[in-house]
Amino acid sequence: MENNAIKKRSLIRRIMNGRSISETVVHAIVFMLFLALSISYLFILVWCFIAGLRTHTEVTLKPFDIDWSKLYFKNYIEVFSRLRVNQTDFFGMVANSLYFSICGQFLNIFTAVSFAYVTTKYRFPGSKAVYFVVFAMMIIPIYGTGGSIYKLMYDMGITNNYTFIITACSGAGMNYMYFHSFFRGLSNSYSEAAKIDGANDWQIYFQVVLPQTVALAGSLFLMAWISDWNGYGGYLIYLPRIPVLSVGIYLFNVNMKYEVSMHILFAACFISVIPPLALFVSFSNIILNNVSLGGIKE
Amino acid sequence: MTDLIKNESVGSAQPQNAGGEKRRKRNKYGLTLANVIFIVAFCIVPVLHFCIFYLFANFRGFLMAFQKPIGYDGDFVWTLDQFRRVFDTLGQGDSELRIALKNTFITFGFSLIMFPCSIIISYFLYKQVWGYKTFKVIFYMPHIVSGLVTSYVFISMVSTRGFIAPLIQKWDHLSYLPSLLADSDYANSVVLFHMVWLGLPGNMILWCGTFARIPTSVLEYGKLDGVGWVRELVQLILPLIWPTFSLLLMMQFTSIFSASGAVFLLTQGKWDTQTLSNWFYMQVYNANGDANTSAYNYMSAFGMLITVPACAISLFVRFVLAKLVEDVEY
Repeated sequence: MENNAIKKRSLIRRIMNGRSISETVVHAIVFMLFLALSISYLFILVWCFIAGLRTHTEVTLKPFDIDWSKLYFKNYIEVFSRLRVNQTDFFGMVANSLYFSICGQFLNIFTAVSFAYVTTKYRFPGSKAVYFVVFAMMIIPIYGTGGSIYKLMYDMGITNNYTFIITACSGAGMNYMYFHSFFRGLSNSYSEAAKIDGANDWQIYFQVVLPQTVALAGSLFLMAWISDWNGYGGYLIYLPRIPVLSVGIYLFNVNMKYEVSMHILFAACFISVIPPLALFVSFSNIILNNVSLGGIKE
Repeated sequence: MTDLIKNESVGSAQPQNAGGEKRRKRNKYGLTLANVIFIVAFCIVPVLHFCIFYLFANFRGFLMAFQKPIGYDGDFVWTLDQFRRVFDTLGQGDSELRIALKNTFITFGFSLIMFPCSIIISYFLYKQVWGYKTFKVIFYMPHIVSGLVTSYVFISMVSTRGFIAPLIQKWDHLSYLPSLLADSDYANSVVLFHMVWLGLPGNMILWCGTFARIPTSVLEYGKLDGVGWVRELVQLILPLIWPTFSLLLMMQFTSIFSASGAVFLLTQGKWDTQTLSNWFYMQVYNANGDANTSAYNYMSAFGMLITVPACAISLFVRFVLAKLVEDVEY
């Protein structure tokens, strides 16, 4: 009896975790709300996966009335042969996605790191103005320039072209702000020591400074990569003839007038989720714990 | 930590073996030629990008508002026709632009409500509500899963064969199953619901990162004084995270005319769901690769008209937020 009471008390103490009763009640309510929201998010993935295992008729007519005896894993194999858009097959789309998301985001982050470094750590005409220009670009909204930007890219010949990747080298925006904040807080002692040892600017940057940015740059790269892999808006307009996977899936759905392929669409959707999901699960600690506007955590 | 390295340290610290070397020439900023080459190498790409894709593109957009294309070879005449057309369209009660404006403001209102929700969610994750590690991962899911996937699944959920339409039918005592995304009475609410549902955690990562930097001693003092969670969040945490809070709030106001849900994927702007952001996007999308369509001039003119109030709002909000609370350093 006494043992039971002690166990009960220790269980209650563990649940309350040093919180008062009112706090515990609030946490319990919040927990229930979070649980409901989490289940609804997980439902998207689970349903999408199962829809990819069913037939077109079942997915269309009875989307939520699942016959568990009729699930076809071959649908996921069929995606590789049936998902074909603008003469690009599934693997071509994946290759395009990888090229633009990995190379594009690498260029984007590298340009931002380098630009933030020289404008923060060196004094030259305009070095201080850069921060204000980047900030102004972020807070001064300019609308309706989509047409002129499209015309510009068309005139430059980078629409439907792999050279479109140069648009990633802006070095500005939120990434600049993160690295500006990071470099402002970064001690100069290592750089100074390297300088005294005879290192030049390039050696200091690549061998001393850049390694220190890896955690922040890695987090931002992973987040940007995930966002770029999933992105379709810009690619749909500028690169419809060399479709990335997300654009391919969108166009496959749009062109699905005379085909019965809703199951293939959902199977393709689920396959497209796997790489970012796998990456996130592997690096969730890095992604979730390294970003703040005050720079890298110490 | 020391403050910024300035050229006094970067440029002037001499290598130990530099005794016998010639003294390098420095400019008035203390930079050697090697320093200048290094700086130029890292600045040239972003500066060119800024000049081409920001300055030139925006300036051309400004000029395009006063142009009207003639034929298909890029010729144009200077005119105010695009502005006339915008005002004519805005004058019509049921015009797409007016609907888009109205929906944009409604969406912006919702995003303003979601802003503190995102902070509250992040606060409870920071306070380690049960299962917070798992929740953190799951709440990031709307960022991991493509908008295409979430939208296609959502379309199935709200279709007449889904499970939401029968609930609405019962709720509204309808004799038929409503097509929620193809009915003007429901479509916009459904698009907003989709936005709120997936956007609730918002900038969770940034908030959690910011909360994690708060010195725990401050919160412990508060706890000793018997401060509850609401006071802790509002009176202790909020002032400490004010720089991030004000920056993100200002960014929210900066994008006041960009507020939009997944209109393109869910309805393509039909059934009174159009928003300005989607309208601008659709102008380029529907041009189908035609670089000389007058739609671009029309959108430039309209864009210019809303840029003026948007800039004013953005600068005013920045001014107010800067006055409201002083930045803190810790």
